[in-house]
Amino acid sequence: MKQKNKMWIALFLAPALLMFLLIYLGPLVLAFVSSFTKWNGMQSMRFIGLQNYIQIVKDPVFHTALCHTLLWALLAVCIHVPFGVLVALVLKRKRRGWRFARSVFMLPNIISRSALALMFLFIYKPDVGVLNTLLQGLGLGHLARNWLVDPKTALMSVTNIWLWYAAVITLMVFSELSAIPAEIEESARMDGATALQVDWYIYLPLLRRAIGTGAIVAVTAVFKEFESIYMTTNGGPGNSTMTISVMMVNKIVQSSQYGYANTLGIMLLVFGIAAMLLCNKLFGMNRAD
Amino acid sequence: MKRKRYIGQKVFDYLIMAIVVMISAFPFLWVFLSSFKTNNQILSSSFSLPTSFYVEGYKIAMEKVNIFSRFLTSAIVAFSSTALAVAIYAMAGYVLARCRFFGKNLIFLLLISSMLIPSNAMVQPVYFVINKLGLYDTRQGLILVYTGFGMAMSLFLLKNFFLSIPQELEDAACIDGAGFGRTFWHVMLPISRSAMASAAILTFIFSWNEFMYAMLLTSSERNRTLPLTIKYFTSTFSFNYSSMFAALVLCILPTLVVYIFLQEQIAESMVAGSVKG
Repeated sequence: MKQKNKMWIALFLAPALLMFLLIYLGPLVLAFVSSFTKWNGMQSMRFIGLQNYIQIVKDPVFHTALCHTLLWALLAVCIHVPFGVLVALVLKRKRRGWRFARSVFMLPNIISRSALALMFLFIYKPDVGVLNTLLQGLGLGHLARNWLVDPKTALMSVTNIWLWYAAVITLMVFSELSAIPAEIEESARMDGATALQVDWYIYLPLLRRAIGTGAIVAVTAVFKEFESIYMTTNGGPGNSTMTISVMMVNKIVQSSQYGYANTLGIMLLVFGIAAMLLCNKLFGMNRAD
Repeated sequence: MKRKRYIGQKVFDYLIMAIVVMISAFPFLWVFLSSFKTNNQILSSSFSLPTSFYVEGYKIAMEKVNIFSRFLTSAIVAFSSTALAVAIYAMAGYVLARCRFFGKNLIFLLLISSMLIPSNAMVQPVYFVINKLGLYDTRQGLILVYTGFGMAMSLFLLKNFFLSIPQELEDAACIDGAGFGRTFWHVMLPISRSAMASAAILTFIFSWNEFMYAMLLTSSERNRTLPLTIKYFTSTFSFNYSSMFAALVLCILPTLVVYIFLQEQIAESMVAGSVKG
């Protein structure tokens, strides 16, 4: 019987382990090894030591991409997550139509990011775009411009494609809120606390872990974000919307610099883990209440 | 005084809700309405309502790209990876939750560490592996990749659910003479439906919407998925805006229809899947 169970265990684990090997471990090892080589797909890898890393540190495009990626991470934590939390706190009061608002808020997160990006591509267009028309209608015509082509506005315009759509954060926080007993709020209100005070002094501290998880989810998503740029500006004009993900794909598709691209991939991995640890610390996720 | 404060808060709440609905629904409404306008109408006034019910854009869009075939490819790929992911990770999750064997914790840590690897960061090495397996430009290649990327989340969800099931249930099955496979299939799986549904929904949404790997791992029309169609339109219909809007509507319509029916479950799964950290 015992022997037979062992066979079952191996049988049940094998597919998952195989998958891990093929999609995670194998590629990870390959990426790591090739980051020390020159590799362009035509010739086999040639070991060049730390040259890729040195080149990246000196690459001005990488500096720009890094700045934009870190700015996005900052915006994710400072605007995306707080907005999601705010919406959750508002929805929790279950005003008339809150279910509708929640359903509609999820829409941009359900459809493919490429479709959402394309919608915004049109919204920003100077000839058919609704944004310029809207500004003219409001008497702010002087602000109208070619949003994605103007280097001054390109980055903010691309950022807008994901910045406000925080439904995932809202849902997570909302479900955490539903688990907090209603008596806590009732007794605080009885003592004369305003709704704002209840939110600030009671709910936010209790939500610490949910918000921390949300921040991790948001920051790692931002590091991976690719479609919203690829569909609209592809890093341009110049490098004004370049991020590490886009730079990496361009190195693969346009110039077949696989070793260099994989070095960027390793950087993304390291930044992702660092961000996760930082959020963990920042929100005291391992600390007991 | 007290009443005034309540009113202020009420106004604030409704204001936030209005903003949320507006920023989320507006792009959809605008694209939807624009798809029924002629090109001239779109160019002359981008904000107006359509004056006629113009469907030529849809006709042209359907002629230019075989949207149905792409829809089918997307559906095949997404359903297969979902089924495969739920099967593989339910099996692994069950063993990791219930059985005792050497190296169990290590294996779980290893598998769950896949969550640390951003799916986009290893794109070239994954491409290399798929190519070496002879799966470049096949649906199987995409299915394999998407199944893999569901790992951390599905495994976590399912393992935790299995842990929450009382052990007595299996003991009873064992006494009744059910073996390992039968206990899993007839006792554990039927009561884990909700966790499996969550894992399935998340894997499905991911596979249905995925763009980068679909772009890099396929080349022939037969194996291109729906999200890629959207990129294709921007080059094909560069100045035919009504067709472009129509095509975009056709691409997001299936998702919206499914969402309307399954929104509660989808919302639940999104919460369940993100409780890692």
